[in-house]
Amino acid sequence: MAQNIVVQVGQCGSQIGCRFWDLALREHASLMSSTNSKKCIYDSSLSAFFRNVDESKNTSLPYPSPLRTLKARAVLVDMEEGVLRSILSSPLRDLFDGEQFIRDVSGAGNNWAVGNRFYGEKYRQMLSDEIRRQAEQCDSLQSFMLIHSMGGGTGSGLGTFILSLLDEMYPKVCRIVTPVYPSKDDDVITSPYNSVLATRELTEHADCVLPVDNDSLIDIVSRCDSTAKVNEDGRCPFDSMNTIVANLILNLTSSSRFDGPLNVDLSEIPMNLVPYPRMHYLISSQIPAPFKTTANSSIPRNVNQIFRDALSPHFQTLRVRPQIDGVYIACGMILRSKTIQMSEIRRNIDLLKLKHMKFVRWNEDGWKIGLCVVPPNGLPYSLLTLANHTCIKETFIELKERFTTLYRRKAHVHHYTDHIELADFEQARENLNQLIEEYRHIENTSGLVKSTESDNASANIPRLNVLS
Amino acid sequence: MSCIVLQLGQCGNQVGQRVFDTLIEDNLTHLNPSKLSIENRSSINDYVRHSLDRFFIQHENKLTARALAIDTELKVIDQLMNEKSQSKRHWSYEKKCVIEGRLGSGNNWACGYRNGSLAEENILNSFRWQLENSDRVDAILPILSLAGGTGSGLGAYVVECIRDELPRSFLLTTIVVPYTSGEVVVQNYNSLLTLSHLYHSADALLVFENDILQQYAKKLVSCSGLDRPTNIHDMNNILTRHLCSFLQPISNKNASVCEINYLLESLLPHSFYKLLTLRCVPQLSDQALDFSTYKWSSLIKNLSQMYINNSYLDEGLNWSLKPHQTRTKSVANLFLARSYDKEDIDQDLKQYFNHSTLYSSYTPSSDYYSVFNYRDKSYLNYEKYVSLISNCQTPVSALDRIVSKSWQLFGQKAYLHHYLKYDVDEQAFLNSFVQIEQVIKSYKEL
Repeated sequence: MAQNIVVQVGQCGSQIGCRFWDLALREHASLMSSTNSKKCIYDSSLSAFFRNVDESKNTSLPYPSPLRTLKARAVLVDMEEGVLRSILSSPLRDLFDGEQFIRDVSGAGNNWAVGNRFYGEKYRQMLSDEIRRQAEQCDSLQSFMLIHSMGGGTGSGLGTFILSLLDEMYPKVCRIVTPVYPSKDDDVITSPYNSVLATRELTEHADCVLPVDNDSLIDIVSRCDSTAKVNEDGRCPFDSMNTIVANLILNLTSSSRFDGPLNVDLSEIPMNLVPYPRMHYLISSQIPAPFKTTANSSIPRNVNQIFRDALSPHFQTLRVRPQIDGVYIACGMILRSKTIQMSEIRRNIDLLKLKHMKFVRWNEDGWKIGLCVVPPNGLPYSLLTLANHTCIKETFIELKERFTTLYRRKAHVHHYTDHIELADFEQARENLNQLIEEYRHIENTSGLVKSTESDNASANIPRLNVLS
Repeated sequence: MSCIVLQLGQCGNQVGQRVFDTLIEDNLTHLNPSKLSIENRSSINDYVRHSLDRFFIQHENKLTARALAIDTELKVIDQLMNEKSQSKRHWSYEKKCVIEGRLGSGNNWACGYRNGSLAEENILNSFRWQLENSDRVDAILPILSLAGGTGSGLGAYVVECIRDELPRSFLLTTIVVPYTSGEVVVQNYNSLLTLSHLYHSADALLVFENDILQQYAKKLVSCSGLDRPTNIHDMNNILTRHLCSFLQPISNKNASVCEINYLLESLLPHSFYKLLTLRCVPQLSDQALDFSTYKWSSLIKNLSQMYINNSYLDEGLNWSLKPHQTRTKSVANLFLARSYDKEDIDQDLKQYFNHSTLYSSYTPSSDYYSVFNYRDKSYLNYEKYVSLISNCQTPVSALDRIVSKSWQLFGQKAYLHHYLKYDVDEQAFLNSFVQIEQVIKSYKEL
């Protein structure tokens, strides 16, 4: 079975990453204890994210083999010491070797240019060595999972540098990025710059991007996690928010890790959901919200409700409104359940398609369904929805506006020009504009807006005619 | 004489396994079951001997399937080789002939095709091993679905390899057309590319459609009074029963057993018409069999009405349609009848299938249909069983659907970059479109 390497960059990336490793271990542990205590073996589903190392000989064991020491398939990068040091003092430390940490002391100062250009060049060799070392320990490398924030300097700058490095080193391995976009009232003043500059790299080098924004994470936590106490300054505990993102990655890979009547290999996700290389932004939502202690009311009672909730904006990890504007370009659903039958899924999806979802005209069958028989730890079932929807352009328009507000005055630009040119700003903005236009174009060809004649013509090209 | 089955991809492997199970099941079904055991060669009759020789390598009372199982996903292969399921069966796969790739194709036809070229050496070696273990090859039977990446992409490549390896052997490819709206967004692209490649390299394509199989399964499940949703096993069972009714030994007028390629010769008068459709009657659930008796005339009447209605099922037919209002036309038909009785069906066939309107204008009336039967053994538990294989227009609607849907995507240039990554460019797509449009047109003009 195929393996994945997690690359976690910056403070945000490291924290989500740790949550992820914690949850991944728990998931496998609960599976093993529920089956048979004798069956503590390293199997193909464990190999997706972990190596099994024989410490005495210092070699990786192939699966299946008895469980020895598990090591994470990960590269941890941060230009500040704090978070990485706290990992080293946590119980998770045994998952990682010293070489897997790539760190500096001084930080990128919330500056994309420092992270991307300065640290990028400085650590290029080290990063590529470590990535290669991890890749060589996989018998079939399936994907790289990048986790980083978009607002800061290290995550957005160095994270996107690594992305382009991966594109160069492993052009055919799927690159899936989970970037965390900053809140509107973010305390980092330069975050619009960082986000726009980083978005350009995401658009050009990733195969699949599952954007997450802080605001919607806060919404979900305050709605569904009864144990989380809101801090005095009105902020949510980061831990619960990180749990959501970490679960997103677990659910995303569930169908390629575990058995199921409808397997979805990870590479099938971009293949089915990304019709054009640049439009690879997928809006995700998870039902139910992935907390063990979730108030009972938020766990859907039956299959039909799961699918009704699937389109509800309450569970989306991005503040957009797919119900109101735009069209679906393609949509994927990954269901984890022991009991739900294929025919029930089909019926519900037909219903959704008929009543609630507007698809782009040329891709009305743009559905991908996965069914995996292993439910998530502590929940009876879960449904992950991945929507390639044109409404994501609203996120980009908003981002562009915040960028423009700053850039009009050239505020803070001088911090960046040590490392990049002004032209880079212009290009990044132009790139974003172009992306927004591409989504608009899709909306136009789908007949939502009164289309011009040229659009109509391109939508219905007559089929080839065979002359006799 | 032997046949070699190529199980390609997930669907191919599931179906292929059922094919061998069904063959054995049929061979063990006998009027007097106590007498039979496959292990003891002296107890078996000609039919069983022919069938076993055709599909199994027999060595020291062990049966090894004449099959290559090829997949890139380990899960399905693991199930095949699982010892528990092996011990339940009377036969097994040869380890050499189970080929697993480490690289999935991710629903990408182009990626599967590339993976095929990487595994070529391996596959050909196993294939040659199979050849060495068969005295003479009758037909090669690849089984694959059109939707995914592995079965279709890798499958298309493997079929081409085998064609190069054995240019004169008969390649009968069984293809499974995906649901109209299915699990794979790019299924129509994948289907199109596969069809155009297979149309070039295979001698005949036996077409099954998931939509129809699903309908059929639903009918059987509800007939047998069970209250459960249909599943993939029901559908695979139906498919294999159809297929095996055609693969089991059948004899000509002189009561000697015919080879498969000989049977099909009459069905393929022109190299441009390669699409075969299989219709079988009676369509009953196992539970209902014991309570039913049939006459040849009613079975054939049913078949003819199914044919005229352009339907695979004997339900929901429009019985008022007359032969001159037929919704499908064919180049040739082939009837296989299996039972214990010696009655002749020629009269009935003449009555229902001797209408020139059912055939293309240039088919001479002597070539309308040919008949084969086996009179010393019925098929499974069916007292009488008739299979009709026709080279007719029925699959064209599925092809038409595939082309128009993929053309719509192609017009938007959607998803093309995934294929370009593995060197399948727009021109390759266009060539495929041209080829399949030609096939559709030539069938429509019958």
